[in-house]
Amino acid sequence: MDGLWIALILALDAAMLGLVWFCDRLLHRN
Amino acid sequence: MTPEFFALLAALLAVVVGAARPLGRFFGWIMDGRPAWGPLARLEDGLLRLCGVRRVEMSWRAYAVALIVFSLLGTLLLYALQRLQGWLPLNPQQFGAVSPDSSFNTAISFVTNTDWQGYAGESSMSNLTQMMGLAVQNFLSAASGIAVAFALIRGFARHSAHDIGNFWVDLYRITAYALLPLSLLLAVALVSQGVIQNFAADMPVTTLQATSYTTPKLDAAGQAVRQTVTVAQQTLPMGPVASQEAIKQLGTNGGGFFNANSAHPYENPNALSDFLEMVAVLLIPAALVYTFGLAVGDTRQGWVLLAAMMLVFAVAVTGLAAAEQQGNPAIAALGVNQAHGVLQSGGNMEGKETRFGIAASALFDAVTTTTSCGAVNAMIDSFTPLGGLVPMALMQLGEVVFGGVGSGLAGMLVFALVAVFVGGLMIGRTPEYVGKKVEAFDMKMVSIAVLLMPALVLLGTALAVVVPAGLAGPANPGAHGFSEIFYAFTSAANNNGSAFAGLSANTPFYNGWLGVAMLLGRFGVMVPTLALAGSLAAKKRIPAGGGTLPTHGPLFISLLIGVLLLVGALNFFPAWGLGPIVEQLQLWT
Repeated sequence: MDGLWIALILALDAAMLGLVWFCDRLLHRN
Repeated sequence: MTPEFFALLAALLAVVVGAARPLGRFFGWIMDGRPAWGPLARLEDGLLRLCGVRRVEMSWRAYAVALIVFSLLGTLLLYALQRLQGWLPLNPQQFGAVSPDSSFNTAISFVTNTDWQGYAGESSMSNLTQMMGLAVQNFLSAASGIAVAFALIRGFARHSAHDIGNFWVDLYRITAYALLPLSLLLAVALVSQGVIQNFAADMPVTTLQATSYTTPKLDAAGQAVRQTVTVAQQTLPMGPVASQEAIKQLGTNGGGFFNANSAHPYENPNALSDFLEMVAVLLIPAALVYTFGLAVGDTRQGWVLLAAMMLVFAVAVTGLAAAEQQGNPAIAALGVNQAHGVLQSGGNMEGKETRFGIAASALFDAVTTTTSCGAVNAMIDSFTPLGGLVPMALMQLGEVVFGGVGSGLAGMLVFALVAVFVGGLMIGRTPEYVGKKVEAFDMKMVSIAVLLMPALVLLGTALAVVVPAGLAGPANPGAHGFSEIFYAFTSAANNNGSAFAGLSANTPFYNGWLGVAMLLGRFGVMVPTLALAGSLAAKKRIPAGGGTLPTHGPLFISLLIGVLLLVGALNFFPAWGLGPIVEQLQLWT
């Protein structure tokens, strides 16, 4: 079970890093 | 409402406003990175060098990545600490490992400054977990929030710049120079009032009178029966409470050492400790508003934001106190006297401590929900429906009325941009705020920051009210049960952490989904806020012209409050109708 919850933590933080990339793309397109 | 309530409200706001200027200047000093007193400066340099930190400015991307990676490591560490506490020292109660889903929820909860607690601290967390895990994150999550506010302030204050500060330096300076000393002072003050601070094992005591109660159980045939239990001993939980209580309040964390939080006499023994705890919650959010004004070279800009915050807060808390003082008609029908008098607070006293009464309970709970603290000294589940709506609505405004340390100011500045944008649309000019043009990219970031939270709250609530695992949580049926679920997702997505208390949330469903809401509600708002900071810092400063909307007077206060309330009402009014409003109508008809 630990693996599942740790994977979820990693996935959520990876999504936040993805949001950084997305916002940066928007800024450069601006 | 009573004279005690107005006196307490006036005293609280007077102390907070009085402290905002000197403390705001102090935070300005921390933000500017000016050298500290000799030995402290050497310690700062030494520790940062030891951690491999170079004092170079960061772009908004680097700042955001540092924030996320630092928080990720903190989450994993706190998860591990809970799972391994049974094998680790400082565990006099010999608690075993916390369950995986609860560890997930709690780790995210404390790293995101939410401090939602699905568990009872005194019966599940070792002293080591409380101190090395939860209390440490109380400091670091608060410092992270303030760091993001610093970055956004720099975005407004700088011009033609590419960088918004150094996350690691900000984190260190905020923790070392503000949070630690202020917490030490408050902890000592709380100990003087009777808050406990020790490492003793729980203490069994024989009660003056044996207590009997009935409890359900299954008999040998598997049938549900009731048994009578008589108890003549009580266990008094011990632990390092005052040190955690101080940062719990100052850092707008809110996670109590005990399950009963600030209603527990070992966390909050008397009226003075209660007042100190309320002041501590509002102190830093109010001071940072002054820091903003100072940094942009016009302190009126800061005072305007503080005035808007205080107006919304004062009206909301007055409504809350009025609803609670009015009492419960169902109890009045039983012939119970609910009138305020010399011998009693009157009103709806269910779930409230007699040592605080209506005034201090209403004020405390408004203070901790208008900020993202979430501590409670009364059970919000027992408030009248309209009384319960007030803390819920304060959170649903986005935790920007004072708000969390740092995150509250950042959120209010985001709403200020919405206000100038709306103002700009009205007069047909490009909106400006403190000398910065607000353009398309900025409004895209503002939109993400403003709309993500309602999406998380409403989608999470919608999911929980249709799946069996979600419906198993509420203790009450109907509108009140809906409010319990709605409040939980509101609290999680806004990183508040207070609970309606009637929800059984320590289940894989709630631990999982509330954990997701907390993490996305924190960093999903912080990332666009930092992007906004980067965009603003790169802009040139333009002088105010004839068509510039003045943002330092009563007109802007009105516009800002109007925008804030309008966005909140548009997002949540239908859901209020399903929960607290219909419950209020049921109660009074």
